[in-house]
Amino acid sequence: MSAVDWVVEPWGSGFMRRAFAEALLCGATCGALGCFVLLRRLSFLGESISHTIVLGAALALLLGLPLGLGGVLIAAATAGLTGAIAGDRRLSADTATGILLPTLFAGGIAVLAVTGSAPRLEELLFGSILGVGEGDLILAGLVAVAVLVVFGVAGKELALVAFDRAAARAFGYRVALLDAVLLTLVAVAVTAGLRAVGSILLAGLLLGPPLAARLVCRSFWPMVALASGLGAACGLVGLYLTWHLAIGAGPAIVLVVATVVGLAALSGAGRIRAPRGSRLARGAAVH
Amino acid sequence: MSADGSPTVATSGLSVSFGSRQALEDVSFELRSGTFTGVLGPNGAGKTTLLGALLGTIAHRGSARVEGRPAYVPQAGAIDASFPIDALGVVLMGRYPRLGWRRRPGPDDRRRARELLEQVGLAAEARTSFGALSGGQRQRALVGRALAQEGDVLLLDEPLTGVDAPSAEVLLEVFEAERRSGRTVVMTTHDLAQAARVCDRLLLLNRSLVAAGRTDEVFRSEVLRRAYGGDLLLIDGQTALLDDAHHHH
Repeated sequence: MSAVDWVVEPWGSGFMRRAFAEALLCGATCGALGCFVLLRRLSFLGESISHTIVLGAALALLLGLPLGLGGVLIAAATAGLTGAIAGDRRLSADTATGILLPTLFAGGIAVLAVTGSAPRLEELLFGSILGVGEGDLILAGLVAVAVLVVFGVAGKELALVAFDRAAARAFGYRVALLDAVLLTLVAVAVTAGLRAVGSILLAGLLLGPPLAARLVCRSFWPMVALASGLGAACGLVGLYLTWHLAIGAGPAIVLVVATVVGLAALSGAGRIRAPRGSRLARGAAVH
Repeated sequence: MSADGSPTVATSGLSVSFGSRQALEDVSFELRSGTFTGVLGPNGAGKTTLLGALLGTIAHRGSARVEGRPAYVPQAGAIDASFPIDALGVVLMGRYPRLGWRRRPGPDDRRRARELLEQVGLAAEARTSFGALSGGQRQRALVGRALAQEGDVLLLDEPLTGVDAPSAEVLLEVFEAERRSGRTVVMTTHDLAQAARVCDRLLLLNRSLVAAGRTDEVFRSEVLRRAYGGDLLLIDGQTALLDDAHHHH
């Protein structure tokens, strides 16, 4: 097979074209939002939500609600409960995650079983990007538009909250409202991402591209742009591997993400590890 | 900004409690423009809480009023230094409130931010990562951000704690310049001797207000002893030092 065929062939089938679109949209939005999750040290929460979302999806199926709404509600519940548990001085956010993640995840599996939706379980766990329909693409597209709009209106304010919460509050910003907006975006992006890579692998798509971008970027918005681009690119390359090597789409995408993180770690190691004030650190800082 | 020295910061019957713990009780005072006030008191005396009440970020009873816009410098240690941002970016953040939603900093904001970086002695570090700056340089960047807010009242939370001597020198010059230009500068600090040297007003807190007034009125052993009790060492009845070993209860 020629290189051109290798690239072009998958685009010949309709389900692959839809899968490419879904992967590009979900990769880009998860990558961008994941930067906030990563920098606000909410990785545990991101990991948690990507699993508890199964309960949200199960309840949405049960009640006939839109999947996105189920996702937002369960994400809010996960964040609220994590905060409440971590508020106990004897516990911490990682402990809260350790309790909540399996509990709500198990709840989701139980609801699916009881309501006779057990066949949906596998696609929620591992994704089913090769079977995306128009509705999935519309959801992913709406999430992408919402991210662009929110970043356009309140991007710098969200960055300020991530950098210095106390100052954001002192500047007069309603930090709780900004938090809620960000959490809602993450929730719907994760819900859309379920379709692409599934619950179990979602954290890889949410946190991997931002981590790779952080390792090579020194400023916030370039990091967001790079993470978004990497997320989309990983989705694209992962689907090629799926087509040509018959690896599941979710695992293929996440393995590509992991490879990118590894390469970024190799290229960025010198800058990140250089001790403060060393020549290396200053040299990197000037350029 | 009121150049006539009218009150720009005032509290009346200010009380704050966190659950069952009373952090501030019935604190009343006035500060005038063109003054530089040091807020002193032992750990847990409510210094940071007082700034929070003035900023309106901490729920309180009684009144805590700031005339005009406050600019604020939080304790540098509370900020995540791993965030990817350079010194110029930190100062630019001070322009956000005046820019409003949607608008991004433009050339004018950048020019102003670079002037402020120069003022705090960080012109050469404009593109240096916040995390790669020394503690004192970080503090200078945060003060630059507060100046970018162009507030009428400058609220500083421990701006000189853990700061190298050259940085402290630069910062004190900046604070003094702000005071001279008619702003009200308020600084919490652990350092009694330094506050006595650089501030023209002192405010002594220990949950309730122990004393407030001109530095020469407040900086007296009998007054200080009421706030600090036995932790206070006096030398020649002039210089007050706190034994740091006893300081972290």
